[in-house]
Amino acid sequence: MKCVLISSAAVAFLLGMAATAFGDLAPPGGRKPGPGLRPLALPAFKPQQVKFSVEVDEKAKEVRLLVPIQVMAAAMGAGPPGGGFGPGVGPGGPPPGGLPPGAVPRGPAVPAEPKGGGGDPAASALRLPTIMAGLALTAAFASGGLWLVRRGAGRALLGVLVVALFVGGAAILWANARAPFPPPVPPGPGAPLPALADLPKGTPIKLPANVELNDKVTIQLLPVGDTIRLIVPKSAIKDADK
Amino acid sequence: MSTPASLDLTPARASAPPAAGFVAAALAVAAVAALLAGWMPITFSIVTVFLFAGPHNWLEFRYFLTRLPARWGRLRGFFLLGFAGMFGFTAAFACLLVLFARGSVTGDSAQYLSSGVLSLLTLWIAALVHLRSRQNPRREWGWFWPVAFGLIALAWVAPYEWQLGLVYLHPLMAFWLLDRELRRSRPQWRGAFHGCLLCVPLLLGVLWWHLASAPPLHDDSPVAQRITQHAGAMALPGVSSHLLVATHTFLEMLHYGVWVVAIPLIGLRTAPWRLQRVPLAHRSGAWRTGVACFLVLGLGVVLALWACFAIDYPVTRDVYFTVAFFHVLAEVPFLLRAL
Repeated sequence: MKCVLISSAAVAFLLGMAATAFGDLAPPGGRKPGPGLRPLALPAFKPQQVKFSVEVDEKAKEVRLLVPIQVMAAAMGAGPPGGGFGPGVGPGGPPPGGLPPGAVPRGPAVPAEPKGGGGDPAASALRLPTIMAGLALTAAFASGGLWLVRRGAGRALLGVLVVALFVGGAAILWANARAPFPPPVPPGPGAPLPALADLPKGTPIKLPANVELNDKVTIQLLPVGDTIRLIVPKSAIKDADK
Repeated sequence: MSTPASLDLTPARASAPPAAGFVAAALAVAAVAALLAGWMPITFSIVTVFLFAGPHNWLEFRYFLTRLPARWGRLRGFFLLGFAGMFGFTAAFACLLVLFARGSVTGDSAQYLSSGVLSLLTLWIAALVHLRSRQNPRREWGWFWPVAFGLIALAWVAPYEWQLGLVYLHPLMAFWLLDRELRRSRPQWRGAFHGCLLCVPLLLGVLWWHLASAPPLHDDSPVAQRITQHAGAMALPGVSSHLLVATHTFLEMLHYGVWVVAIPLIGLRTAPWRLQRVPLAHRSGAWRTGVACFLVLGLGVVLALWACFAIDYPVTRDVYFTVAFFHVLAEVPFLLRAL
């Protein structure tokens, strides 16, 4: 009885882990999926109102826009595919007792597109992490098989492993049906982009506190807070001395 | 001139006190830790690291001295590989930190370098497991190789998540070592201890239930940012940073509790400054003096750490966690030795 329960639980777990694929489906927007088009697109960025503040820092040497990561997450509804924000977010670090802070930089969980934007799926698939992960998995299966042979596995364990092999190599395919993508979010009534698009290129926009920005702003994601903050040096304030 | 080691390593089982006090203390510490971690996670994290980081490392060092044999004999290869890995990987991760901070290595190269070092770290652990399994009595640990290769695959696909898993699982290693110590010296307490362990997921569940929709932490001081970042807020933006910091601080407090209180009482069974149960101290007078000097030096480092924390907490915290990775690595061979 115990063996049956364990085997059933293992099989149920493995079936739950089966991969899902979408075939011959219209992606959002009605475009046909072409070569190199990845289903893992960025999630829709929902317009939302957040607190915004402009702060003058006399020690600042450049204009910095600080965006709390929780604001980004709320705007996206949840974390992006793979739970990351892609390259360039900045170094992350572990807490006490783990690796030294920043020893592993935050990077994409899903391999990024190759530089140049060619979108060649073959080139994308042959990135070093993919190759190394494939080699490691090969070694895992080989060493696991050798261990099983040497150990003399029982029938129940062998059965579970055979099912695992089939399930692991299989996928659930959703084909010729509407993919369960969320509907596109319509732009909010106060979306600023159309208004900005009407302005002639280079038209200066007055910011609070008479701040004047040049064309370079450093963006930094913060792990805490709920306010988007614009840190400006004193030199960026028009008529600061008056 | 060497003197014969005459250690009394007989487990003190006969006069073991009842487990009620141990259970009550463990549950009280866990409950208070969960309460404070959920209520004021940043402050609690700052205070616990300030108070316990140094002492717990010193007591861990003292415990390892108790478990390190005077002469390695057939364990020579195991310990040589262990110590090489401890020093080598601590240096490697410190170098990575400097390279990334300076911007010398960025983008894909940084990712590959991190994944490569994590892969080597996994292979080091697997090699130690293999060596330990070949020692008498032989152990059937062949399953570890496929697991290790699976972890290496994960290190290449998701290196940040890999190390985040290590960060959250590392505090639990202390429980494993404590369990081995209980088995050795207080076997009648193990059942009660396992019952206490069941309270950890229970308290974590209460924390998660209570903080699942908690607003993000608002403290944007440099220390708070580092603590929040350390807890994985950048990797898990959909999870409340309050919840993440509370979870990690809670686990870390339990880790400190095990090393500062439980293992010295149960594992050392003597005052930490007494060297009777340190095998290395029985090799010769010179070794005894050397061990004593190391312990005094360690105490000096603990005091210096407190002073540096008081002077500049953020910088000291960063430096400490860069160097303290050594103690995480050190737990691997000594845990394997205890199995």
